[in-house]
Amino acid sequence: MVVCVFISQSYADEAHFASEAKLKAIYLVHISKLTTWPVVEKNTDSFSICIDKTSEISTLLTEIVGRTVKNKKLKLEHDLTEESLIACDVYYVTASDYPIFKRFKSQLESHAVLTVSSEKGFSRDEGGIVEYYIAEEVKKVKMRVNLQNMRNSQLNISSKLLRLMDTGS
Amino acid sequence: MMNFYNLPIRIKFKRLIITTISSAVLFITAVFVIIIFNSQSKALDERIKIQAESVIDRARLTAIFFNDKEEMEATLGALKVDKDIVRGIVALEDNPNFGVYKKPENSKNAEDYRYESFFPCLLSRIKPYETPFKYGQDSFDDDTKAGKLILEVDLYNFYAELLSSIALSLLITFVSIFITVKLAGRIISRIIHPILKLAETAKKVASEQDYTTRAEVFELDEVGILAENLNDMMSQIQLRDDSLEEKVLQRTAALEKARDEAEEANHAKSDFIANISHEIRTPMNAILNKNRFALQTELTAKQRDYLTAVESSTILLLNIINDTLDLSKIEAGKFQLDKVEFSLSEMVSKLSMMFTSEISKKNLALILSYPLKLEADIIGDDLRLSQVLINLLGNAIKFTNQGDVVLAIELCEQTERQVTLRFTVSDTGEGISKEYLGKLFDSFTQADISTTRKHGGTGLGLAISQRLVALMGGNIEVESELNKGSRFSFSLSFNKSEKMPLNSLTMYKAAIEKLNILLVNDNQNLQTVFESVFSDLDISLYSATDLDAAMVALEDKSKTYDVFLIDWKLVKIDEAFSQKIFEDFNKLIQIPIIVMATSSEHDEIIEKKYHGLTKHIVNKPVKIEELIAAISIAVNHKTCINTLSFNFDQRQTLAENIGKAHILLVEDNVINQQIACELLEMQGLQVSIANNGKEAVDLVAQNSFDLVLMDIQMPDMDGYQASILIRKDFSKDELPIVAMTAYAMGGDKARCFAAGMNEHIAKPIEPDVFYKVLAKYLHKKQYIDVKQDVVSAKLFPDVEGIDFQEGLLRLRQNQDLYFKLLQMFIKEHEHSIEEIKQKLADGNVNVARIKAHTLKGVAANLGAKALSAAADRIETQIETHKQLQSDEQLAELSGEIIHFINTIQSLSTEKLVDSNDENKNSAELSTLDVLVLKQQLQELEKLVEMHDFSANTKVQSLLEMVIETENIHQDLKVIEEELRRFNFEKVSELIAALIKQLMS
Repeated sequence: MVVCVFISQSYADEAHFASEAKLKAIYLVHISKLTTWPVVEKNTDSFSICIDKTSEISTLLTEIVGRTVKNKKLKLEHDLTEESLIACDVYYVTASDYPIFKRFKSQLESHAVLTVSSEKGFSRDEGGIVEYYIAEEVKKVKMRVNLQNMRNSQLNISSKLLRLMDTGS
Repeated sequence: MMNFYNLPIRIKFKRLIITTISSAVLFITAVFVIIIFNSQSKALDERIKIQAESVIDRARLTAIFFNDKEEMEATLGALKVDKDIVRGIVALEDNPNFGVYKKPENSKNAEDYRYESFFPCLLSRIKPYETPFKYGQDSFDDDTKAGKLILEVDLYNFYAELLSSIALSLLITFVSIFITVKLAGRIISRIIHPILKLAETAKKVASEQDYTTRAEVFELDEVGILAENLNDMMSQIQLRDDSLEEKVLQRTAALEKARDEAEEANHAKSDFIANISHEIRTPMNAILNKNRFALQTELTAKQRDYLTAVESSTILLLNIINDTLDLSKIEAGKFQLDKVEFSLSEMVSKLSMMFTSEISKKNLALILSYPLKLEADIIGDDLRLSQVLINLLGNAIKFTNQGDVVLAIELCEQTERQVTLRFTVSDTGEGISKEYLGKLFDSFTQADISTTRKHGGTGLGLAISQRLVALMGGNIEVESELNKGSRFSFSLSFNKSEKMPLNSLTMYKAAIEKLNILLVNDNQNLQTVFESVFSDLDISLYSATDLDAAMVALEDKSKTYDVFLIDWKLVKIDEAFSQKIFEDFNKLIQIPIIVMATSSEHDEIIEKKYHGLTKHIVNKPVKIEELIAAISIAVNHKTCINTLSFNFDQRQTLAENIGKAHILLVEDNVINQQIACELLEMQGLQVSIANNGKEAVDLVAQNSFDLVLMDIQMPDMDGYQASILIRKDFSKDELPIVAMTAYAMGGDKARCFAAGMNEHIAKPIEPDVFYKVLAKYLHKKQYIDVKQDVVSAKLFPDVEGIDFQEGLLRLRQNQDLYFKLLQMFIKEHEHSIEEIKQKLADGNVNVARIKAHTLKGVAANLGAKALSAAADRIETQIETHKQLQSDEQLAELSGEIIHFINTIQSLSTEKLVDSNDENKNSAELSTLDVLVLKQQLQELEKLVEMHDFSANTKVQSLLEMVIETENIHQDLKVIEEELRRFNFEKVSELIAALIKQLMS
């Protein structure tokens, strides 16, 4: 349904649609900026975002590859293996690689990967941390967050941002 | 603007302190305030900045990024912690009001605040703080867009706090100023005190000149050192003073010694002068005397010449010596001026008398002007003043050959106690040249030697006069031109006497006010004098310069004149004309005529029998009092007649009843005497005059009077006392005494009655009242009213023991009077014998003696020699034995009296024939002349007493005065003779006798 909405939205309004994906992409970066990872021996040269290559968001993100995020260069990781997944800082889960997420959920959690997805129930039920959703009334992209999952992942999204997120179920 | 630096130290200091401290503190406060302001401002800015950044910080990546208005406003809500932020606006590029915060509570819109002025000086209340920031929305970049956060801050609290800070600091400022000043004040006082004390000490030393004072040394600062130095100086001064004092004492001692020596010398000089005066005069007198004796003897013509020259030289020498001694006395300062009360008018009268002969010899006119407005006698040295005036007048007369000599006394100023008079002697004589004017008052200077030779004189007169006037407080000024005459004048101030003057203006005025007088006179000076005198008296004076003009004036019926005053000179011009005029005139108009004439002219008038003109003659030089008296008498006659004529019956009754009563007039004032006399004699009364109470008592004892008119205020013995004494012998009925008082106050009246007087009348005497009173007391008596006809000398028979001729002679051949007196004698002494007997029996020895004495005197006067001798014997007897040996003595006296009385009575029955005036070979002296003569004789007596040589001169002038009255003339000749022989005692006796004779 969300997808439908997305689609309908995207077809109805190109700008809007573009904005929706863009927004998500932007938000993704934004959230990253406002999140603190624990000190792990991850790849400290770059800030990597695991994301399906084919995703719109990925395309959009490629625009800003190389930019500094959290003092690291932004890198996109399209290889969605376990190894690479646990080495990412952020994993955007699309519908297509949703099962991957499910398989490696616990590894992701233990390796402090910020999981974001637009899939419904991502944060509520599936163990994801941030879930994008569209608030129909205001036609805005909103975020839902699962604080427990967040803490489990030893991640800390800034309270400032959390305020703007729906933290309930 | 007061000079700050002249203010007292304390004030200067205080002001200085206050000013500096205040300025400093205020300055500091100002700086402080500025600092506070700045820091407060900064703090505020900081605070707001923090708030802004906090909001931005929170909202940029969240609310703004996500374009979440709600979140934005929630974030903005945090602003409410800062109460001063009234509005916050987040302005984004596309949304100027992305987020708006308004401070709760206040409903006011910040916009409203904006326009509120906090202070009158338009500080705005709301200050917007803008904080720009960069943000991103819908973009990977979060700083691509610009937005700003506007915070509007209400500055109210900021300012309030600021103000309270300022207020507090100001308060602190003032408190600190106050405290500081107070403290400073204390310190200053402490510092200043020594300075002030020092100043005080210095002032004290300077004003009191007490160099023993020392200043207190407080501290050892500059002031202390100053004080020490000051003390040093004063010590030095003290030392010097002491040594000065010593020097002064030394010098004073030396000066005192010198002064004592000088005083001794001065004393010696004064003694010398005093002694020399006597030493010189004595031999001079001797020379003069002996010379005169020599002149009395038989001499050859040559010898007589020589001795006469010696006499005149001696007299001149004596005068020179007198003048020199006077002058040196004055210059030695030994001269003392007398302080005597005297009447200026009397002095002037006396003066004028001295020059009458010289004046008439030179045919000059002497004119006297005297201030009538002078209300009192004055106190001064009349002798010396006279001396000066005599000198000046003498000179004036000496150096003038034709024209006038005027003595003018003017009143310059008069207050209650003082009077300033200006004396001027002017003449129409030779004058004085300019060169000599300067030397005039030097001793021994006369215009030149020839003048001395021509005019005589010692040359010292003016010198002495000038010095005398200087002593009296004045200065003689001279104006003169050769051949145009001279003028000597000086002003003097005198204190006024408290006595009522004899010649007060009021008395005169009362007598002759508001008359119209026609004056016929051609002498301008006289004219001027009369004009001023008469204007003072409120009399209208009309003038004519000759008889013709006078006649014209008289014929002008539009004017009536009361008195006609004429200078005899003008009458002489055309005698026939004049005589006719006067005869017609008298008959027609009945105005009394008063003639001004010299004494020699006086004779002429009488000789030439100008009818109606013999009555009122005033001698020249004219004395004002005399003139006025004459006017008063002249006018009063008329008045009397007028008033009495209204009551014709009364007059008749009066005349009939009063008859020829004998009145004793007791009055010391010459003029009043004259007036009363005239009034009495006019009614045919007989008047005797006493000059004071004592004389009155004596006269009453010696004579028989019907009434006494008693003045009260008199010298020697006043009216009250006299009355009391008289009343001892005579009762109110026997001898009425009528008082004449100038002050008719209640107390006086009571005193009169207490003293035994019957009545009193007020002075000046009103004829009407006067007569009524007289009538009252005299009408009861019967008098012998015998018609007095002139009896020729042949009618007196030769009777033994009675020398009628002698009696007549005594009375200057006045047969009328003689007869009257004879009649009176009968009446008075008819019963004398009984009375004497009676008194002796009663033990009134003295009265008896007096009666005998009186009888003796009266008889002698009347020529009853034998009677007189008998009375004399009785008197002596009573005197020595206090009683009579036997009745026989009295019998003798009695016989003589009877004899005399019978003789008198026999005379009366004989036919009396009218005699011609030719039998009268001498004029009766008018009452006026008698009184004047008497005064002159009294003065002569005084001179004789003092052995004053001017007595001689006086006698000369008196002789001239009475030249027509043989009797008196003869008496005076005798006196002159005795005087020449320096038999002063005899002279005094003779004078006394003469006076007595005149008064009886």
